[in-house]
Amino acid sequence: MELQAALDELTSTYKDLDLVARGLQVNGKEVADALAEAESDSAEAVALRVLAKYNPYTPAKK
Amino acid sequence: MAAPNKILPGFSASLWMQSAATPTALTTANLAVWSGQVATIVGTTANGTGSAGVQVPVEAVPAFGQDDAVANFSVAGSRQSDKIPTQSAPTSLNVTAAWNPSDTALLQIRSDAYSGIVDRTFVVAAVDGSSTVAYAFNGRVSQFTIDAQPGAEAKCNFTIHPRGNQYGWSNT
Repeated sequence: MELQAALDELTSTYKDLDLVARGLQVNGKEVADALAEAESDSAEAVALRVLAKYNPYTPAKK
Repeated sequence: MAAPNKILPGFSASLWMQSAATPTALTTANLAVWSGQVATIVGTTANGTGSAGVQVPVEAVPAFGQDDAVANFSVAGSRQSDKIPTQSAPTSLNVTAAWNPSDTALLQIRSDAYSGIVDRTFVVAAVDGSSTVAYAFNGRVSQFTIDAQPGAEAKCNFTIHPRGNQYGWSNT
């Protein structure tokens, strides 16, 4: 699923964010990158933090 | 939901609500966003902007949170039974306020209670100096009564029933 579509859904819903995020499969790296750049006090950051919980990303060791 | 990252050594709490007659309640994600969202409901005395909110003149901010239910299972052969938390309901806030027939917030609350279907964002703001920790939630009002007995100041009582899962913490 496109990250932007997932964010749109999470920031506009009145449902439980955890419950919704569990059903949204997105690229973990995209989430981690977006979270690093997001304004912390924003709806996008709230949504990204929930997405990161269910789509974790661990950088590969070099 | 991120926990607030502030520690308030001592604070005073106040209750705020959206002021519009037919408000659009904040979405779940926005309930955890202070800037431009929760701050618009909280007044300047609690470090918000108050552009879309009004204070509810409550005697005391009631307890809020969740009412947990548990299922109790007996385990054969074991001295103790087992207790498992089950799905919980949000705690209803029973509020008492001095009844002022001219107060904007109380009149709006009364109107909401007559309707029963108005979803409104409420905010409990804990303030210490320039720091505020806010608990925002969406809820509906019911059970509005006016107690005007002659021996005491007239009071109104009402209950705010929070909608399930629609809450968030934020701070400044």
